Amino acid sequence: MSTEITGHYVSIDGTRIFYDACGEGTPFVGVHTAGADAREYQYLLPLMAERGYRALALDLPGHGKSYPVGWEPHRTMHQHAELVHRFAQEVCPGEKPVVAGCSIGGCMAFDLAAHHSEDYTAIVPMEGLPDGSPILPHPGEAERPSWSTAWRPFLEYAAVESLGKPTLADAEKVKELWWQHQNAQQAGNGDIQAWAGHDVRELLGDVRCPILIIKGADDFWVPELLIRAAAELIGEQAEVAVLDDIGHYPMYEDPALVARLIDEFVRARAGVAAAR
Amino acid sequence: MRFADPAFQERLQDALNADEEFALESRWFDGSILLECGPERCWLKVYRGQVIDRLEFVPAFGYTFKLVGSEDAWRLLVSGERTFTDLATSGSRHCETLEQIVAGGGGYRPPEIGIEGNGIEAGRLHLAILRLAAVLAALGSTELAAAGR
Repeated sequence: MSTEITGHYVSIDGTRIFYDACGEGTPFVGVHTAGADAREYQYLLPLMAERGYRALALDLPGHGKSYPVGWEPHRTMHQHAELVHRFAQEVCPGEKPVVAGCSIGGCMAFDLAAHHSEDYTAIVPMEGLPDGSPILPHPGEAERPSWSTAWRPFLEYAAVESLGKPTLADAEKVKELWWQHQNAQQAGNGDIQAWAGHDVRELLGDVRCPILIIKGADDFWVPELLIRAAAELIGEQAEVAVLDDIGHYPMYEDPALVARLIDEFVRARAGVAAAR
Repeated sequence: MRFADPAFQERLQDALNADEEFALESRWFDGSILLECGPERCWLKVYRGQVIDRLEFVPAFGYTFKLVGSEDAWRLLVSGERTFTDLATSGSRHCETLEQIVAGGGGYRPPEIGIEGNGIEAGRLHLAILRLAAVLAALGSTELAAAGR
């Protein structure tokens, strides 16, 4: 079993989408955070592969090696989520992947749960919400660099400061996460517009696959109050895991823990026996 | 925070002038930063990466931008309970009920520490402000420890 990560491209919505791939088995799709790219999953993918998954992580349009669709950033969460859905269908035809997303990826995971839950084995929103509006103001007026000289450094350091305390004390890991957020202005602002304008709460009453909602206890962006409220809307399909000493980037901060949590949840709740 | 205390101001000036990152980020800034906590004020004149003057009041020509917060907000920073980004960003992230979130304006709830004045310059100096906050937190926590609090 090779756990080497290889890079690939696939055409979705007329643009070339980059993705990392590792291993064979039940498809697992990881979706990154605002202004970042698939590198956030570089430590998780091999661990998922070891557990019998074909582990994938894409660069959303306008991020990393993926050009934006029509040269415009996505500004709604549903745009992002539908692209992730078409990516999953194209790259994993005839299969029901496990999809996990973090931050805006977590919001996309809720959007997928609201619209396409029957097409997934399990959905794992990490550090995301079905309704992003309470967390921060809509940043549309900061979209262009000339409109807000602070946006880019704000997003880069807003990311870093929300790490869990153990990772925040590791200067190398902090710097690495900072370098992963170099799409902060053009694409990242659209991501946060998507976060602030997103609300699928009314569509979560009929979710048809198990949902594991992961929250880092040290993160300040996503209140546990709203995580619990989201789980209540979904009902018995939902399970919440609050992780001590973890911040806004669980798959980056403790990939072994996240791989184990997701794998155990999928096996217990979805009955998938991933090939080893 | 005892912003107006001359001894505190001196320690802050020395600490900022010794901070390599603050000096680099404010290298092309010619302006002033006001720190405010209730009636306490600390006005810092910054030129080419160095704090070259300080006052416990605001001079007649004002300031470029200011950081303003309550005693409690600055305490949250100094104690490490909250990060500067959390304290300085609008939004309802620390409420106990869903009703409190709505009543406070949701994502538009004002931040505990405001950045006011010339926002374009403050934005350009964002990383210098983060260093200033880190230096303030370190100085404040040393003072708290010395006071046995």
